[in-house]
Amino acid sequence: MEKEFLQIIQKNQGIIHKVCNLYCDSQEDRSDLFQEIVAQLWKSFPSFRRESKVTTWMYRVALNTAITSFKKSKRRPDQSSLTYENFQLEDEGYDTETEENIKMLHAAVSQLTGVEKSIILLYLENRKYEEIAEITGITQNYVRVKMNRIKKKLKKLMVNEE
Amino acid sequence: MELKDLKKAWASVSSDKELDESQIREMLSKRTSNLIERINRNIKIGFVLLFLLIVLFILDDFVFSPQVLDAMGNGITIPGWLLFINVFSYALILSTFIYFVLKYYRAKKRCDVNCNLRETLQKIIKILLLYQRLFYLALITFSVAVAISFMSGMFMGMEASAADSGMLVTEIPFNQMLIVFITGIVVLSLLVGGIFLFMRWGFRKLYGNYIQKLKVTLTELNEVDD
Repeated sequence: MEKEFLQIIQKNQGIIHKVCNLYCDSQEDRSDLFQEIVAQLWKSFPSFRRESKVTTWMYRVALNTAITSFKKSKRRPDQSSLTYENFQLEDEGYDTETEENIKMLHAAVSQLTGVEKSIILLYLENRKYEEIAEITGITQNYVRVKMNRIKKKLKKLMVNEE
Repeated sequence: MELKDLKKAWASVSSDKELDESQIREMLSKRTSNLIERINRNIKIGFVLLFLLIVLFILDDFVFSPQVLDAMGNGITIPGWLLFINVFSYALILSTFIYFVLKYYRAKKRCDVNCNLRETLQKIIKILLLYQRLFYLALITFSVAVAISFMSGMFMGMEASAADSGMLVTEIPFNQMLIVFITGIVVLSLLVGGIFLFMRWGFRKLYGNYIQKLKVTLTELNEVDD
């Protein structure tokens, strides 16, 4: 069982990395959250009955863990301090426009709530509304409503950034 | 940037350096920092400690203290009513603790991490509120136990002191009794009140913001869905 689990995680670890990048400010927090998500996935693996896709299961556990993570109150930076390094560009061949878009994206996304981040993440990862509803526990109708609100909010935030 | 460019921009973002199988395997052996797991451990440790403390207090009431009083040889014994209150309070503490623990494990069984976000939030909030009630119950019980012990100790001290002077308690001048009583109340209030307020502040500082954050998130999920 462990071997199978490790293969699944290794193949799909990009999901966990993206969730950690979206919800954490610092490298230390990202490492902690990554480890916690892996631990929770391992804990829930025996009861994962393959009724949903592996990726759906991973998104569900990862987002649950990220949104409900408890950090002892230290002086916490505010949400807007998600740094640019959270959103790294691939090394090969990027242009200035893409870089600017990335900066605008991270600045805007950092100002979303935990739930909004989860929905926009799943949308950007090309998940269907049905899957987003299954993961978050809300109706498909509300996913559409929420998505419209998030898009308006992002548009406003990106205009301000420009 | 237009919204349609969002996906293109997102696709350009790389993920962090990927981990290999051995690095991921190493994570499995580490202890989780999950709050619910920590609360689980606290409850188990608390249960064992509580049980041991109650055994110790019972031994103290029925074995050690009578031996010490016998050795002092002045004929003082622990009054029956005090023993009754003590045993009653131990039974009350233990049964209330067991009741809350059973409720806690029932809430915990409701769903595991495979649940969706809304169910997970509901479960964690319920667990934390139960834990909060258990914490305050333990604190109040402790305060009452300290108060009863203190007052009964004071009374017995006065009784012994009066007996040494060849008097009955009822023969002690009223103003002397009043001074002793008021001093006792003030000391008790400072001691018990101080501990109570400090522990309550500590709990709120540790978990108060977290519970609030979870409730806000759940409200957002429930917003339009109603």
